[in-house]
Amino acid sequence: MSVHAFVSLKQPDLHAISALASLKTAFGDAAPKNLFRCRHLVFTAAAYPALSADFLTPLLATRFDIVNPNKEQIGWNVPPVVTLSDGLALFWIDLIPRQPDPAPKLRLADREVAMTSRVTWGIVLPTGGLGNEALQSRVFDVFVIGKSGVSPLLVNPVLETAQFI
Amino acid sequence: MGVVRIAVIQFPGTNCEYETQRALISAEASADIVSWQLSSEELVRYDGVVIAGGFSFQDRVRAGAIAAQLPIMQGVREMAAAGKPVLGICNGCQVLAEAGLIPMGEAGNIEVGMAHNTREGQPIGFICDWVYVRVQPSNNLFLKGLEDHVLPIPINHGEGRFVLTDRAIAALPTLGSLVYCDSAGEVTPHFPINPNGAYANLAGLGNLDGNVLAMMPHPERANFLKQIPTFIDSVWADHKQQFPNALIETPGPWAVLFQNMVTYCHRQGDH
Repeated sequence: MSVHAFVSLKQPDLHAISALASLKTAFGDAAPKNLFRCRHLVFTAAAYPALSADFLTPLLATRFDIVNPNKEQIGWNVPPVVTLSDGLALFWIDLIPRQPDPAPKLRLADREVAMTSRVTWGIVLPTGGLGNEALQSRVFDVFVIGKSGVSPLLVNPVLETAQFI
Repeated sequence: MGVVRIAVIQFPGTNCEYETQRALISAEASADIVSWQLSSEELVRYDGVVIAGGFSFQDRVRAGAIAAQLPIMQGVREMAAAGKPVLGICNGCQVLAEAGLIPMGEAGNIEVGMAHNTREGQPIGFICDWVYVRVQPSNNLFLKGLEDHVLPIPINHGEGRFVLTDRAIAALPTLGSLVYCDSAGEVTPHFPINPNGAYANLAGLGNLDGNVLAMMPHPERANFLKQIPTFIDSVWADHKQQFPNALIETPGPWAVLFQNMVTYCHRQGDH
């Protein structure tokens, strides 16, 4: 049983701002319109009693080393909701480490909970009349894999794989 | 050929450019610190280029990832393709890896990842220490005359663990490389000999043509004898103790690397 927490900054994310500027330089008009970035925490514990966001919320509120309440907010189990203008689409991409670190064990209340952390990118781009599958393919090829002599920026293919959420 | 002209690229967050420039000047090069906004056309007029250490763009996205995408890197690619010497130190090593300049030199094709440091598989964060590296025999111009030498050198990084694709691993025996070892030159995979968990103890890696070298340790911080601490187990520490009043210009263990770069440029210019 796993619970997912998507931790995003309350302030503008400088990683996302710099990545977007870099993609605009590389891809021009074909670059994304916006980028979002989250820390994706996955909490896992023994099956019973079931782990839940309700259980984790008050406990994480005291673990500033995991989530800093001054700077960060948590969305449980789904990435943050983003309001989009007409003609734009948002895709969330999870980066999965090829060689994951051992999950550290946390003591939360009387339970031992394993926590892993990875990065999730949100990519906003114009639909341009394309269907969902074609758009996903474009996101993956251009911004994740990298093409035309441009190294991939959002994913390092040696260290990570990427999958849509 | 007159004076060899080397460019040292300064990105926002670079913090080793002046030591690197000093090391190049000691090798009798004319070394200019140039902005990341310099055009590729202007960059390629130099005889060689160094990407110095630091934290370019605050390591945003990944260490070296943003810098690797900049237009100036097209100039670095052209210089590498033209056989000019290209050196990346620490963050410069990460930039070259992200740009796909090691080991194959294929634009857009990343074969080497610089992962966060680990100790026996566990993350250990940033490390700052003196270590020893053995120089592997190769065609790499920077390492000429240093083959099989065991040299002390400082490291200072959080993401310095070389991870290679199968294709890069297959090419490894033909590439210039530096490997972490103990003071006697013994290469063992365990901490602290391998301080960051790097594949095959790699501390540095060259390209197939031997004119690019990407290394995580800092040779510019061991370019002069004065920079060598006396507490390490090395003939260089013994030298320093024997000559405590050595001139500031007295060469240290890594002066040869910068001299090799300049000598190579002279030879290229003569042809």
